[in-house]
Amino acid sequence: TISVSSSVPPDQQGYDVEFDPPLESKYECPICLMGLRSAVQTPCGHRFCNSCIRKSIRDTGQKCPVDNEVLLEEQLFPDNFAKREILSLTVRCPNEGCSDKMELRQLERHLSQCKFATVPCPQCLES
Amino acid sequence: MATEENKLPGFSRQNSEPMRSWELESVLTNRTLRFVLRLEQQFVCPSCGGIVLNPHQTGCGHIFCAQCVKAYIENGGSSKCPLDNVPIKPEEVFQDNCCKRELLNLEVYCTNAPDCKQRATLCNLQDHLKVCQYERIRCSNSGCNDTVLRKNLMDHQRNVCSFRLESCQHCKQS
Ligand SMILES: [Zn+2]
Ligand SMILES: [Zn+2]
Ligand SMILES: [Zn+2]
Ligand SMILES: [Zn+2]
Ligand SMILES: [Zn+2]
Ligand SMILES: [Zn+2]
Ligand SMILES: [Zn+2]
Repeated sequence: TISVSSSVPPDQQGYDVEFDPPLESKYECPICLMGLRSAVQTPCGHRFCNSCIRKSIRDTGQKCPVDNEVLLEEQLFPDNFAKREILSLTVRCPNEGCSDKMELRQLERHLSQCKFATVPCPQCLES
Repeated sequence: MATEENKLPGFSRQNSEPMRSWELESVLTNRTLRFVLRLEQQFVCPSCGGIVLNPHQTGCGHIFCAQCVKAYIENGGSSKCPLDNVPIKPEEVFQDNCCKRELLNLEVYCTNAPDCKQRATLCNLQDHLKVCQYERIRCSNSGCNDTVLRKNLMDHQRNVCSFRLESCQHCKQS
């Protein structure tokens, strides 16, 4: 079994967001089980988030977690084909009450403008 | 072709074997492949328009046959990706084995359709054709140049072939 990398910061782990239609397994990181962020590919033909696989190599050893093939960090290549495909996928806004859908690449901008974002009350600092 | 790919400049960081790409080419020669599901764009080479053979990905994230991307690189000067005009840097090109594996797992109809109704994954197609009853094969009787469907071979060799061994009329032995 592959243990979930718990100390890769959330903004470097895979995209934790609801894909609609659901994310295909070919775009899912085998380590964090979320949408590939900064997808990289190994010589054995497996895709991972850039941060997830580098942490795995340093913590668990120089091998691919999927098939145990020898894997060195310098053998990783950015998989910009997969990256572009993933950023084009449709996702739902995570804010409760918001029914907007958009491409993943538009999500960050939407979140900064979303009417349903919870913001801390300036007086009591509670949301 | 299998050996020379690993010696190309810029491709040198990888040691992985091209996964049976020679078999795929021999299957594709003179045959049109029909995929069960509509073929996705990523499996079509933008350069030659065919199915990507030994797919390689550029820094700009586009996938070509190994030979096709090699042709861009060897053109000298600044070779640009035909899809987005981004310069193709040899050191950024890598063997896209994920794409290759997905391609080899796609289902195709037997190339002898519609007579043969079988389907196979692309990587298993050649094995099927070795036993496909609708495959056209050469008669094995020496001297005969006829080709027949495999399912008719026995009948041809026993009853039709000009070079078949005849039962001797006198002693009923062939
Ligand atoms: Zn990941
Ligand atoms: Zn692997
Ligand atoms: Zn929203
Ligand atoms: Zn090509
Ligand atoms: Zn390109
Ligand atoms: Zn067949
Ligand atoms: Zn014959």
